[in-house]
Amino acid sequence: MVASPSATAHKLHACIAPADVLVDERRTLYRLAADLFAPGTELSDNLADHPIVRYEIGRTLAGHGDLDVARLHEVAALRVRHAGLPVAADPRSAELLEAPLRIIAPPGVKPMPLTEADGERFEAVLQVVADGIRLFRELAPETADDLLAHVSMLAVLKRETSGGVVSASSRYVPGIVLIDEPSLAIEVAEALVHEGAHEKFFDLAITRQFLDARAEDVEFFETSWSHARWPLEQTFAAWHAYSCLAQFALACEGRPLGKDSLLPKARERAAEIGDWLLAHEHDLRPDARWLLRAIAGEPTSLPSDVDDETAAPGFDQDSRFHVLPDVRFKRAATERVVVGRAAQPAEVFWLVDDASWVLGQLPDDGTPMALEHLLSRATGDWQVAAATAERRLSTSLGSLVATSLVAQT
Amino acid sequence: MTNLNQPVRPLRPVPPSGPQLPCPPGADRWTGQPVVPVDWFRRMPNGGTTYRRQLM
Repeated sequence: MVASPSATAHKLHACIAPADVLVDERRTLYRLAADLFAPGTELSDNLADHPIVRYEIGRTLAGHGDLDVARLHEVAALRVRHAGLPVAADPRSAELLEAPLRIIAPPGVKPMPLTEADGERFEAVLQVVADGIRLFRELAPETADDLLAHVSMLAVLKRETSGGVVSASSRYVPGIVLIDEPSLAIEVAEALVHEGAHEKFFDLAITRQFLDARAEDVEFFETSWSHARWPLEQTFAAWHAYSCLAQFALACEGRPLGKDSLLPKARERAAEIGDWLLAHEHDLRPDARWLLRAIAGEPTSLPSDVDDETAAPGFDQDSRFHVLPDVRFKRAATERVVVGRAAQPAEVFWLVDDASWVLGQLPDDGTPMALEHLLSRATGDWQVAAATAERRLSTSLGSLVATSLVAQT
Repeated sequence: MTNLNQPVRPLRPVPPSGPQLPCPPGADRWTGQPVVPVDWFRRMPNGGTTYRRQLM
């Protein structure tokens, strides 16, 4: 599998959704979750982007405890310095960033962040980080815009405590990239391509159709170079990162690289992983399959998930529909709607186009609306024939009823 | 609730330029599912997905 030189990852990402759209939708999802667990809680953009805030909300969405709003305020007070990205600088970073430091730690190792308490050593590293981010933007400006939009914070690990971690990120604490204490700007730039690709993937995975529960039942991929075994999600994430690194390698040709650089190996590894993924593509959801095929240079036309002629259920003309009382939703700038129900654990759904429209029509107070009325509005708003509107309406209502977001009376 | 230490960074949208490709399924109202569950937070792959370069 060889990626097309013209089909660069940032352009393909933007075909799914531009970076600013993805970030807005991600914030909308976290704001909905905060409102589900602590009604009335409003998150600023900065708080919605904060990795530890997202960790705390993610834990609650996973059903692991309640949301502690005071804790969100506490972690948001983490002091950062600016080097092109916010860099954790607070002397309390080891405490406030305990979760990512624990998750990425090799066995028996306790990585410690470098902070302002380390004086000149921190200031020197901050300069290398700033130079690395500047270099990334010079070498691959579009890729930098595309990936760094998903990185909210960087933390630098003291070299003597990093235990061999060169760079790391975690799906459980999205938005933060951790790197070993760098010597060279190019090391920082490469780490941000690598981990920024993971952060991009995390945002794609929670806003688009990438993976679902079946991913956990798929056989593992085994790398030829280390014989590590990865589940499907990790395999896709690694392929995505290696694909971005392979493209970044082209921009770095002729430059000295860091001693741990993956750039010379990236294209070959992306190809190996990509071939395995193509053989398992039916276990990926449609947007992941599309991205895989697009980067691989394979045809991207995929069969529909929804059979237009048979998927739409029939509803009696005198049917009435209402939003169930425990359902809350928020609308992103794109008009896509994310819906949640405060169950244990909470259930969250993205609504696509027509379903978003339907939920927007139904009264917030749960008052039922007649199908006939919905159909009349849909025919006008969508500017389609009544039969087409009826079929589209039935498809959306069928899914909304099946997921217990809307009830029929 | 804004942390003054973290000013809002303006996002620089990436224009979808370059080769014309068929839209991804999620962008097409007729091929995507109308209601898409987000089960990402409930999945726990590998006990904790961390990427360390020395393992890759």
